[in-house]
Amino acid sequence: MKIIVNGSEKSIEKNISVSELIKSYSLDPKSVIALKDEEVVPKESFLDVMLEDGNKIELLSIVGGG
Amino acid sequence: MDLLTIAGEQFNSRLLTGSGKYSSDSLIPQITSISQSQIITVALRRVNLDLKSKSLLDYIPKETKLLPNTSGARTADEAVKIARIAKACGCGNWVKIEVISDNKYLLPDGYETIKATEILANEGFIVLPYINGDLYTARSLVDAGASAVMPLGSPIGSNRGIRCQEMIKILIDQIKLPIIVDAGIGKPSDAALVMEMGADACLINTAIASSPNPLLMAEAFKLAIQSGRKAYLAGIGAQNNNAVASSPLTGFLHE
Repeated sequence: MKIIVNGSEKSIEKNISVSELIKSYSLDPKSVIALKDEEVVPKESFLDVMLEDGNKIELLSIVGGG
Repeated sequence: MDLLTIAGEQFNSRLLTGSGKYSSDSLIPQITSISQSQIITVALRRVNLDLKSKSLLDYIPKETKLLPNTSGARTADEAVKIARIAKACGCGNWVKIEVISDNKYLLPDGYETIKATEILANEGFIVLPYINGDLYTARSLVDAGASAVMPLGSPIGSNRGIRCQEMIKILIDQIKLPIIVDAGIGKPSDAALVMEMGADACLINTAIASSPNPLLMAEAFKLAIQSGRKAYLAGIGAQNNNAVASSPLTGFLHE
């Protein structure tokens, strides 16, 4: 199935959680903010929230700024 | 004790620092320590999926208050969205509103800033909006529930200093909220100038980060802001157009 991650299409297997998606990019889930279809996914739900075909995922982080 | 109070919270330091533009994020703990800053701004961005880096938050001392900005927002709605995400992610309920659609001078959009401030203040956010030094915008922000106002000295990142001095002076005179001068401050004497005028605090990022020696510059800003504040509290002596001798005008040797 296909999802959109940070504006780019990505093909993934079925039954993938937000946590597994983040790890597939070798990112540390602790430092990533995830939005699924514009809704913030709480960090404690990363393992439980499963991705579905067509989901729009945003992976964000806190960066330097003024 | 002369403390800075924002939304009922008290701070010893009147220097707020940014976390952008450093050659390495690993400088941030030392900058924070040397500057004695207690409030630090951060931004929210998409993760670069091709570039792995350590989380910025690992470098920010835990006792420092995070002030997420809404940079990148072009409308009130976008700013509100960024603020809500930052809060949901554990960055607290303070937010620096930045709504900018002008890409050359990065000047803030007052109308959209007021709208975003009203929405977020009603949701319980502590809102510090970045504005042009315009009295009517500032008054509307007071009514909208802002907790401070942050007028610019000159365009963001320009290091051009206090080009809006008269406008900032009017805000200091007329607005009861803390006035935090943000953007454009290029050197410690710029910060001292606005502190002597009675500004409550300064937010410095580029001037420290772009110095060849950011650690020494952080200390210089800390001292300048303390110096300017003390001068304001002491009261500056009256000016005269003519010379007024400091030494006695009698008892000269040739008399």
